[in-house]
Amino acid sequence: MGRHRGYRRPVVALLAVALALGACTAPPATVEADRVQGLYNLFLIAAAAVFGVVAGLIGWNIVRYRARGDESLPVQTNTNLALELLWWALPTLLVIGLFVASAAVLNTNDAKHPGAPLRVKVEGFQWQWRFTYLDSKVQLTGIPGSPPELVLPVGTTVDFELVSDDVIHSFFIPSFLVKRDTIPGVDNHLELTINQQGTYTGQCAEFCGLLHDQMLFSIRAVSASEFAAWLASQRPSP
Amino acid sequence: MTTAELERGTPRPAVAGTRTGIVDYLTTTDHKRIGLLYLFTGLGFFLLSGALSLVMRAELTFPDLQFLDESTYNQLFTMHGTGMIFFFASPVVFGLANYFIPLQIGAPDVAFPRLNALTYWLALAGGLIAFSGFLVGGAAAFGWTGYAPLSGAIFSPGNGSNLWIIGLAFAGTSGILGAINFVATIFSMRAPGMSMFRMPVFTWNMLVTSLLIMLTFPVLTGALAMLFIDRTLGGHFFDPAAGGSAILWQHLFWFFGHPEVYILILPFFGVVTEIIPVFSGKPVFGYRGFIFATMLIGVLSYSVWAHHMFATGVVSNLFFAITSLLIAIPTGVKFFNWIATMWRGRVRFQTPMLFCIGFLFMFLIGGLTGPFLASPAIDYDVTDTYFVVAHFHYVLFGGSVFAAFAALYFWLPKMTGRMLNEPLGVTHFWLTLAGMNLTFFPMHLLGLEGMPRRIADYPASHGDWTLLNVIITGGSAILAISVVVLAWNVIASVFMGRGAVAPDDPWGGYSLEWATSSPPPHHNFTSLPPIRSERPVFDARMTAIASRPVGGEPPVPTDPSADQEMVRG
Amino acid sequence: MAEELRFFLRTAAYTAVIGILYWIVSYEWAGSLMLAFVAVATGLVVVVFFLVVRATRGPLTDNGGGTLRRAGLAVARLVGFAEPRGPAGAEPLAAGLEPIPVGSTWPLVAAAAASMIGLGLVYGPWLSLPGVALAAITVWGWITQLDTRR
Repeated sequence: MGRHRGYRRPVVALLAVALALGACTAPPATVEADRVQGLYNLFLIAAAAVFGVVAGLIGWNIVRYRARGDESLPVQTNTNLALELLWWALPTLLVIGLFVASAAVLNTNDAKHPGAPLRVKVEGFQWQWRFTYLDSKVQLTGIPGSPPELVLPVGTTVDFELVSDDVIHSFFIPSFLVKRDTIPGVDNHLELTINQQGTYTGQCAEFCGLLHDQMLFSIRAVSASEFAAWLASQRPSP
Repeated sequence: MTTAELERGTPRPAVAGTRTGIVDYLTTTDHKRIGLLYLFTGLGFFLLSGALSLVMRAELTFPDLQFLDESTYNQLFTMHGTGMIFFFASPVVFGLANYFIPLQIGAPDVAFPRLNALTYWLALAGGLIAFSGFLVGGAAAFGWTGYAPLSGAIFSPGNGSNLWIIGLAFAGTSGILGAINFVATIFSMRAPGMSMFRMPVFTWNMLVTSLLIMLTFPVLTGALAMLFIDRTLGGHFFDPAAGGSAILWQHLFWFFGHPEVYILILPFFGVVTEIIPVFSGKPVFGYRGFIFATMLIGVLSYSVWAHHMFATGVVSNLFFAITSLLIAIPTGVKFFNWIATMWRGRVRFQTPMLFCIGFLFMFLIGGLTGPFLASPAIDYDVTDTYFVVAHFHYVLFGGSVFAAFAALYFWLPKMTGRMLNEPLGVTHFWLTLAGMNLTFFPMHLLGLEGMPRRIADYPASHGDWTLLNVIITGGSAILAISVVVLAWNVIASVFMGRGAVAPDDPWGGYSLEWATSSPPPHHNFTSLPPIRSERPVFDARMTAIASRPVGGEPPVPTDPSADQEMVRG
Repeated sequence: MAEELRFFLRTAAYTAVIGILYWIVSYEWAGSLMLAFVAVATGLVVVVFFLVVRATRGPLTDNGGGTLRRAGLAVARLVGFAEPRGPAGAEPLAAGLEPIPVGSTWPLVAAAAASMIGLGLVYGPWLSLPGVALAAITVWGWITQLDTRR
């Protein structure tokens, strides 16, 4: 084990973290997701800073204080009250800061706005999804191998009503940086506002049995006028 | 027969001066033999559960199902998790605790030796029963977390799931009885002079762990009983249609499940805190602060459980966010204690210390992804994805397993009387470090890109998922090779007798297990040094050096790490 | 107060407080009750310990003292509480080595009985009832086993 190797591990690890920084999450596509992305970046910076300090100290120990042949016993220091109080206090302050940021984003994102313009019922069942536009009664049902595509307007608050017909599933859209479980016997709600047009993949994220891996769907976000036209075309003719 | 008289090549008895036939092991009540049984059983389940994961990795390397069907895959990941948590990590913890708690406190055995043996046989039976599902038409296939209603009779018919429940109930009972034994031993059998605050940190951590086990395993056993009643006796505890609650299972399971992960890491914090001071030539820094941090973790762990349930939308996310972020503090503080222990020491890098340093880096990474999961808004994105899989493998593999390997290299000489081969140990370390990071680091990225966990297959349309999965499988192959290196080292050094004979104290240790032969005699000690601090063996060594005649050499610490070369033939 | 007692007291105090906080915040039954039970269980240990520790301050043969002390002595005898250890600093093993019991088949048989009962819950009373019988035999054998010393 060469002496220089003590430097290698922390450096490699820091590079890996930087790589993760670059790759990041899926690009956020909702108003709420933008806030989550900001919070995530804050946490990442804090984590990287802590990692740098702690890994650096460990690396320093490995390099500077390695035993070099026959030596006398080192000074048997085993306590330092000021130091210990400091390293209890600093993490506590950091944690409080992270909590305050978390609470702010959580309360804003989870806030419920009664009378949301668009209500969609999301039913999870083994092993696909059924989407129902509650006001217009348009319904889309997926079958394994043929995922349904939910069309939604950009800029409108959507209120998803999440229910399950059998076991627990989870409604997960990576680009929206959010998931919410569908639980039998529970009426869950998830509100969000898409702010980017595009097609986003979604998938069940709570293990639900044999074909859990095939419980896919997608969301296509279009302009409000396109959405109105599409919805009209889906309604059964009178 | 002194250690010097035993030749290389002769297998050593597990307990000095006794025979070691099979009947001895079947009827033993000696904590040292029981400890060895636990350790080797745990390692056996490590190999079995690890093999399952290698099969999973082979399937996941490329999109589309290659050679598994979904049903088999779902059984594999369920039993991989179940086997690793309940039948590898727990038995290793109990094995080390069994062997070393009595030695470290200067006691001749545990408080209830027959009960001790019973806990081992129950643990073994539990593992065999849970895995026997594979032989009766399909093992449990609902994840080690067993969420209702999926785990109910309608959605998971078949005896494999029932056998899983029984197997876990056995593991739980075994754990509770063992924990009672350890607490009784620690409270009532310490040698004179061994006050509570002179106990080694490993023993302290096992005390806190035992309390956690005693208070949370009954919750698991109760939940399992309720599930069994639902499945086989017409119960409706978890059936919403009949007035039950699906979410109730999650509350019960995670009230046990979160303390469980602290049960799996606290003993290993203790191991690392035994090894780092010895290999730094200094005492542990902040002994009392360290123990206080451990107790704080133990106590806080009762109040964080529903951070596993943020995405359900039916728990108080703010409450659990606070408690979960808070528990990061005492965990993080330990890092500074460990760093300060090494600071201005004389750090030696034999294999036990290599694995401790690996532990420090790996658990740091795993620990730093924890706060992301403790923040509900971020958790909504990353929970139930490979981000979580990365997090817990860093803390469980990088934490518990690395520390378990450190414990193995540190303490196997004491337990078997043979040193393990040092070059092979160094090779094992580097292979494990490389394999572990290649396997689990990319999983963070996969999770952030939206790959959920527990999926047998993923679409080819996610191009970068494939690349990351290929890297991960490559890493797991390296891990497989590293385990072969370890197995060869243990088999050759211990069972084939090629390892050097281990002296009483090969490392320059501090605690009482180093004050007796390797392995210890039947009653553990023929004599005990006076106990005046938390490092009685160190004190005795310094006293012996200081009482040399005047004009001799200045005091030097013994550096007993002799070259360990494998003797051929 | 002995450290052993404080060890349980901390858990009892924390879970009691956090249990009340949790109930106020969530009105969720399962978690609140589980926290309450942890507080009660550890609190019970604290009470028993307290009685025993206070009661055994003096020589164990002295049966005087108030009701509380006599209750503590009774519990101490019931759990087999030994004479207080020698003063700190007394040489260990000064009293000589004690014989340690070695070996017993009953743990293995007990595990076999438990396995029969457990598997019998899955496969039927034809397995679990013999298991119960074997368990009864095991309990008897365990309790009446004499020390086998080498």
